[in-house]
Amino acid sequence: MKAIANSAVVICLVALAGGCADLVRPPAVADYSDKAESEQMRRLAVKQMRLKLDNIQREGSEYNFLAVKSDDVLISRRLDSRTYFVQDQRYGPGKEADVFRGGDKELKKACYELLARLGVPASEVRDVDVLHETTQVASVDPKSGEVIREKPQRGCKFARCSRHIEGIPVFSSNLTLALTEKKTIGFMELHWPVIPQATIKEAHRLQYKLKHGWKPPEQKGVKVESADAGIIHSAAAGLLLDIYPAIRVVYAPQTEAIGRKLVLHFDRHGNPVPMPRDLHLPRQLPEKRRQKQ
Amino acid sequence: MNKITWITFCLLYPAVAVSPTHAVTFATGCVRDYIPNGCPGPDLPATIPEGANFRFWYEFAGHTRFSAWANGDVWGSDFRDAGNGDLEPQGGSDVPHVYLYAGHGICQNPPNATSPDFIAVCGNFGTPNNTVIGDSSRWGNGGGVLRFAFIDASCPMDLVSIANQWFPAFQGLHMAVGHSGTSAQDALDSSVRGTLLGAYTSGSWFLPNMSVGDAWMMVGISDVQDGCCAVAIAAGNSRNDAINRRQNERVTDNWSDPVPYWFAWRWICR
Repeated sequence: MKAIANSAVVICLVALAGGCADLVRPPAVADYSDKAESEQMRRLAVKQMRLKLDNIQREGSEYNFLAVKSDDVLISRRLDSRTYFVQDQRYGPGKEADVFRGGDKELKKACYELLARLGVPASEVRDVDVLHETTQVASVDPKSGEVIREKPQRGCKFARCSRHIEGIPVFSSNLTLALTEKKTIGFMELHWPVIPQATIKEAHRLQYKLKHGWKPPEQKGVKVESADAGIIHSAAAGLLLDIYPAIRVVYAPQTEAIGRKLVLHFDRHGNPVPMPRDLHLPRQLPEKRRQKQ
Repeated sequence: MNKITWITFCLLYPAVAVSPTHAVTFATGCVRDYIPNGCPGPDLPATIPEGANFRFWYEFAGHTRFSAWANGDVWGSDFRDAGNGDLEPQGGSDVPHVYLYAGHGICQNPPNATSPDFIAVCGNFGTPNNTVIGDSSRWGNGGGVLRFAFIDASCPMDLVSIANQWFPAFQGLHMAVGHSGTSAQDALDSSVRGTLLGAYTSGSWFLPNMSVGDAWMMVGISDVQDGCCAVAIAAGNSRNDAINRRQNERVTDNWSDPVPYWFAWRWICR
């Protein structure tokens, strides 16, 4: 027993002299230089994302993106959001890094681990779906026009991870992850912005309203197919970040054949919620009208 | 930095910042207003920002806009070969290298091998509004140069009828993307697919620069209902050529037009 106690004391002393000393050391002065920003980005790539950045071709910022590009790998992030992009040019069937051939469980596990390393709370992970691609080939006889189809083949797979906060779906957030054969990142889009507490609270209110008699406004030529309370925000590849609590209503056309379903977002009063902006575009429609020639 | 160096930097910077391997011409046709113009609805408010965002990324990457028509200025004849409608000099879909259409399609429940795939606009001219792709769309022929057709319309590329509806449309066209589905497995009106497709295929240095097939597999299943599939198809001179294009061809590659003896396609479903 005494030996165990002695060991514990030694471990504590070692800890104090090493890692724990950081707790009592005064914080270093923050470095906001370009160099420090670049180093942070490289650290993120190597430590959090386990990427190798050999021979940096280019690094820097553009609009609200910060990026490092090596011969093979691009990593970039938004300055205003927890949004990251990774692309390994060697990823793909038959390419140098090839594609992941392990099981779905392993791919899901890789998602959870990556999200944890990037500071995403595990409680916000709603679902991880593994999607399997299928490929097919056919030839056309130039003389007869006969089509000869080969059998469909299994293609590569990737994971898509959806998000919720306290049971509220965040419709616009996602992680898309494709791995190489050696389980490094082949492609990644993580768009998981921090959501303000007031937005979450209002989304809860919308969920309550929906359960207690809130009715979606009717629209001409369509019928309500579904209504869900949640949070919407701007897309990953954008220069702006709008975030709104909203009831998302999907309308099915009354003329059933018409495709691409109308989706509208409403607040608690049934007023339209603005469509989150992605870019600052002063003019979206052409001024002149097209003339018949 | 002295004044001359600064001015030189400012002049050269855009060329350095945006240097696509090969610049292309592109167009968008986005239809929001159906009901006000007497067409079967509903209206689709996300199509207009979808086109604007797509154009932003393409222009940022140094590509040249050919046209950007919206609503009634997108004509059904823009997508038809007959009467050189697709070569109409203001907005024909066979005039640019890349065309994004965002608007309605028409779904069957379920489709079969002979079911038509549609582009359904609500135009001021160039009627009829509905174009059956397999019957009327021919891209890359007779002076047309379209290489990449991006059809974000739901059900314009049903897997079961892909040979009937899409093989004939390839007359020099390299690749096309769309969805396969039904009325219950449909794409939703959303700007995100076009936004990300523009970002990932235009060739900006700080975002993934993906092949058309890879990009559509990643973004085509955003905001679609369960069971809806994102489909990308390529033509090729040979089996390997078609597969290579399906997997690897980028908008900025400037590959030559294929003779469509072979077709290779890929799809992924929610």
